[in-house]
Amino acid sequence: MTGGLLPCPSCGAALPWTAWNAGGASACPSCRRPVEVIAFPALLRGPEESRPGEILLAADQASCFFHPGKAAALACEGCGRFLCSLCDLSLGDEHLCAACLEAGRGVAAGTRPAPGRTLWDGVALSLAVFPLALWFVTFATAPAAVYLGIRHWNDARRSPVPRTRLRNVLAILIGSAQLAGWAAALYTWLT
Amino acid sequence: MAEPSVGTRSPQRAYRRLPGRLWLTLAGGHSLWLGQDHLLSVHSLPFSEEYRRFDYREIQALLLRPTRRRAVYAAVLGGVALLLGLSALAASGPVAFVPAVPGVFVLLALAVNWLRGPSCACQVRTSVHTEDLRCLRRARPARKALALLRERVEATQGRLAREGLRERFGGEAAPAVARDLGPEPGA
Repeated sequence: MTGGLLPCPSCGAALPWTAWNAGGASACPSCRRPVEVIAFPALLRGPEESRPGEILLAADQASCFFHPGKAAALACEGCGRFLCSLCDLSLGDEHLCAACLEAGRGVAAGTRPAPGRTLWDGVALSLAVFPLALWFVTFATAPAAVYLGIRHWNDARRSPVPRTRLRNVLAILIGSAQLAGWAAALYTWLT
Repeated sequence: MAEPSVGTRSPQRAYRRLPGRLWLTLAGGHSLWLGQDHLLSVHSLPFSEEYRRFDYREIQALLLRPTRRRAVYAAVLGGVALLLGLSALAASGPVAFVPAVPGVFVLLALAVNWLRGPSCACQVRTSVHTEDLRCLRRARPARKALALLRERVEATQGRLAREGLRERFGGEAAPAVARDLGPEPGA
């Protein structure tokens, strides 16, 4: 039976296998709403066998840092704490605890895909443009805009989404113009 | 599943953008990218990007269903256009341009909404969760995108043939054929 393998996105009822890869939309047997399903072999693969961790049998046996009643299987490569097989999060050849994974620690942290990225070029451009509404604020924001535009010059090329350096360029130009204006104003005031 | 490092091959060239992009202005936008071994969903915000990756080996199914979004937009835009049109007719002289000009833009939006074709919702399903592909909201680009994605996933996992399904599950009643979501791309 295919029950439960693939629920209808509208009502949650199980979609029969005859609706999978049917080449067009099929009606859900429950809500009658059309849905087109493209299914892959992973759907028929069972869930991975879980590893609950071995119970600690001897008092002098090393125990898991997070589960004192379970035997330690290995040490975290980020912090060194002992982990049971339940707490072990393996990424390729690396074994980490949940805290280290969340904190981005570990040997391979530099090559691990990042969950997100701050767009510093957008921040720099905003610092250059928006404070113009309150011009006196630009005394502080203009240097910040120029600094961020230069500091994060190469960030655009590291994004998986195509991005040019246009925001960096505009932030540096506008910020520099503001700084030049302040310099001229200060020179005029002093002389 | 590491991204290519800078200096060897640009991360941007490692991904191919799929058709469909949703922009919600200040709320950000959504886009989909095909990577070497995973699908990348990008949520672009004004000052940040959030990434979600779906390994091709873990994708169980892609689902596409029609929605009433196009009809709702058409009803709303049509109502607004009607109001503006009536206001323009009721007004006289240059004052008629005040509702007429926005009315033209509303009519354009109505036409664009209709020309973009049927609306839909798409999901990608893995063993642990189901994710809405928010940038695929029109059937035509959605079909193109899903076809490209299907190629990659089947290149990794292989095809799930219906003959195999019949042997494994045979005996379940076939569902009724539903109305089509719209013309296939290229038709």
